[in-house]
Amino acid sequence: MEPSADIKRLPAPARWSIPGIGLLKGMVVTAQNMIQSYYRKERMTTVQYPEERAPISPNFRNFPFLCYDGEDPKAGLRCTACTICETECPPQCIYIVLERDANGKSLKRPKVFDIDVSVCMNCGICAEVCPFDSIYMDGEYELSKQDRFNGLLFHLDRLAKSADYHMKLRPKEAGEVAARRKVEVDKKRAVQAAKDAKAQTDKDMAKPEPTTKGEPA
Amino acid sequence: MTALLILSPLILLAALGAVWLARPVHAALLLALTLVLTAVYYLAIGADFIGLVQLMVYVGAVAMLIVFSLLITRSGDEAEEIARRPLVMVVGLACTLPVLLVLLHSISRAGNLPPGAAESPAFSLAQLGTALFTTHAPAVLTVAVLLTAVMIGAALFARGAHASSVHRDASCVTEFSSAPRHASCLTESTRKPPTPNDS
Amino acid sequence: MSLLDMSSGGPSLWAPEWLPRLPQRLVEMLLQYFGAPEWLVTTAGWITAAATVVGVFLGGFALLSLVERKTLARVQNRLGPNRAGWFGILQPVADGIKMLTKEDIVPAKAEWLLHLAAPILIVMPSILALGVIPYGREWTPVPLELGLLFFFSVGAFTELAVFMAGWASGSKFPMLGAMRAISQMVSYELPLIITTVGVVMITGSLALSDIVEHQVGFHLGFIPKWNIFTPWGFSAGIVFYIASIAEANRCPFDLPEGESEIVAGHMTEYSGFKYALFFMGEYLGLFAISGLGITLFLGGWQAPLPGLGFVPSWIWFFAKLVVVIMSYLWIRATFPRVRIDQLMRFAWLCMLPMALLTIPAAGIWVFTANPDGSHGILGWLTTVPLLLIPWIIITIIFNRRISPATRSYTFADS
Repeated sequence: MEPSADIKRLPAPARWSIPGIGLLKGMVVTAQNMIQSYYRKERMTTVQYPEERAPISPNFRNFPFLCYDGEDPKAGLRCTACTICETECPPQCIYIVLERDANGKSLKRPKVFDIDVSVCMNCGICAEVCPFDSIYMDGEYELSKQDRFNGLLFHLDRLAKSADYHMKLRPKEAGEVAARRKVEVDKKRAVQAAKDAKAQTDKDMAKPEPTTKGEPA
Repeated sequence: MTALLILSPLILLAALGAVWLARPVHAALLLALTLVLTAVYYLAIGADFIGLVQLMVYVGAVAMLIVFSLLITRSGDEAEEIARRPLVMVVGLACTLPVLLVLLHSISRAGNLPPGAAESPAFSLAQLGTALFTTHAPAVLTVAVLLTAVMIGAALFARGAHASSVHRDASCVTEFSSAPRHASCLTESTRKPPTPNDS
Repeated sequence: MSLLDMSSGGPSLWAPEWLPRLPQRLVEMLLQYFGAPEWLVTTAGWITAAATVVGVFLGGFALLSLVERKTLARVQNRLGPNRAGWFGILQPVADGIKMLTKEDIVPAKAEWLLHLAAPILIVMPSILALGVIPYGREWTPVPLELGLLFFFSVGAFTELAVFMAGWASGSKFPMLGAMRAISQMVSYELPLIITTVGVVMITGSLALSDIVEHQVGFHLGFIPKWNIFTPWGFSAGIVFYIASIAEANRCPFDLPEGESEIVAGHMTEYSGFKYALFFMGEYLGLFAISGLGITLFLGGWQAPLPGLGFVPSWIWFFAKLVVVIMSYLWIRATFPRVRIDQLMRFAWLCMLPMALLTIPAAGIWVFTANPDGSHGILGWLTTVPLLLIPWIIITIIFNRRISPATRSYTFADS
């Protein structure tokens, strides 16, 4: 084997330049970087984390939370304790107990709603399957705790967050939900109003009935 | 005198260890220690220049060369086995004995030196340099020619090895681009049979 | 030796020029006051003088580790360490505490004695080498007649220590790192030492203080008579500078560490304070080699312009040291790591010939000097082409790009 056989010569550079000029150009670039970093704000993109935070993306999805309307987390809770999310949850980290009144009749709200976020794998299936727009994925990321058993078992009071919070977190999605819910509520209200009206008319109809009945009497 | 009394047993022990220890790396490191202690002895008796040169040339270059060749050759028990063969021991003794005899002879002659000759004469570095390049110039030039010839020879040797490279040892090739030119790799590669795909 | 002797003789003890030697004098005076024997006074003075140098450079090491990170961060448009203390000024302390409290791990396959000796042996030569450098007009810790030779002699231990670290760890990456380190150090030590020969020829002495004294004065009233401002000195200075980067294992010649390739080279199996010692040895070696470069080529402790002599000389030395070290940082921030074949090619085909050429150039420079020591046009006319033409030839050769040789990997192919 010839020594030159395995040393392949690449085509020479097109133009002969002063040797070392490339090195100097590189050094000028780094020097510019350094000097400009002191007075050009747009160069320094680092966010000083504990003091300031970069805004999270609306697409960021972390552990679930429960959404409630209005001011009171207990009364406005959208959750009806239907346990669909509990059944669907792959790692089974959700635990729901339905609240019943003294007679054992369902009150359609959870007495206990626990999510063990140390088990949760952020899959978002609970949020997808929820038919009541109640459970959503959160944007919270500072969740480290000293106590990894009880500290990471979130109860209802920790999980419940207002619809305003959802709106702030993901305006587009929350807006759509709010609009849909408004339509539904309006429809329900209309239905209710119609029912009420019907009942009223029924009542009105029923009222004269005895009189009519009574009239012939 | 105190320096000699303290250092000579240490030098002897280190040298014996360098000869006796089976693992080549230990032997090489003890050899380096022997050279360092000799340099320290030179420094202790006031021969600063020769002591520092001993450190720079022998520890910095010669010991490093040995160590480096140990690094890139195969480590294993082979050297250990060879060192234990009786023939090797006999040859080693046959080489050592004449040197020892010459040394003893010269030491015995040194006892007959006139008094005062043993005292180191005060000389400056400039005097040493002048002496080296005037009175001892032939010796210096001879050594220079010899070293140049050795260097050219080594280069030619390595070049020839590169041209007729039959097999490349993986441990060398992965680390050095000029590995086949290295003499120790040559010994490695010639020891192995050529593989069929090499022409 | 006492205060009165010093003040009656040369400059006052309290003059800024004497400031770095103040601790030594104070210790000696104190011991004399208590009537200590002469040998004790001298020994304690030596120890204090050594402690001053070590203290100054350990402080410099701590500061440099912070400044380096801050500078690199700024080049990359980051802020760098800014949490520990004001602008991160306590970061070296935090690092030190972390290093000291870490577990000291010795691998099971390691040879513990060599494994232990290597970090000690790597710090020792750097500190010894720092001892012979003249930092100021009155401040040479150990004024040796053979200072330059001593510097390179103790430098020999660094390679030995790297080998011991790499081999005694009993692991593959340290071994590879040691192989790289030794081949690199051996290759670059040659041009490094050969470039100093020219300086020794011009000065006629191996004492570093003599070399500085030889560079006293100014050409035309404002250009300092530093060796770097002569043709051979310029060439030798550049070769020395590049070789010193390689000797200090700094980027772009940081192949021995090569953290993206071989973990940390010969330091892979070290943790805790032993690792810190390697780090320290590297930085102290950087200080030592820069200090030597300043002494040999940049006029040592001398002021760069006439009329600035009122500033204490050691301040000039440390100012030059800061400039040289910042240039190292700049280079580290700019260039990527070279390949091992590029490194070797550069060492043997470019550095060594250029280093060798400085010797005849320096010789011609000596012989073309006027009787009063000044240099006429003849010296320039002979030495400049002698250095420039080979330099152009070498750069033309280096402009031809060469791809690495194709390899066959025996075990991978079969």
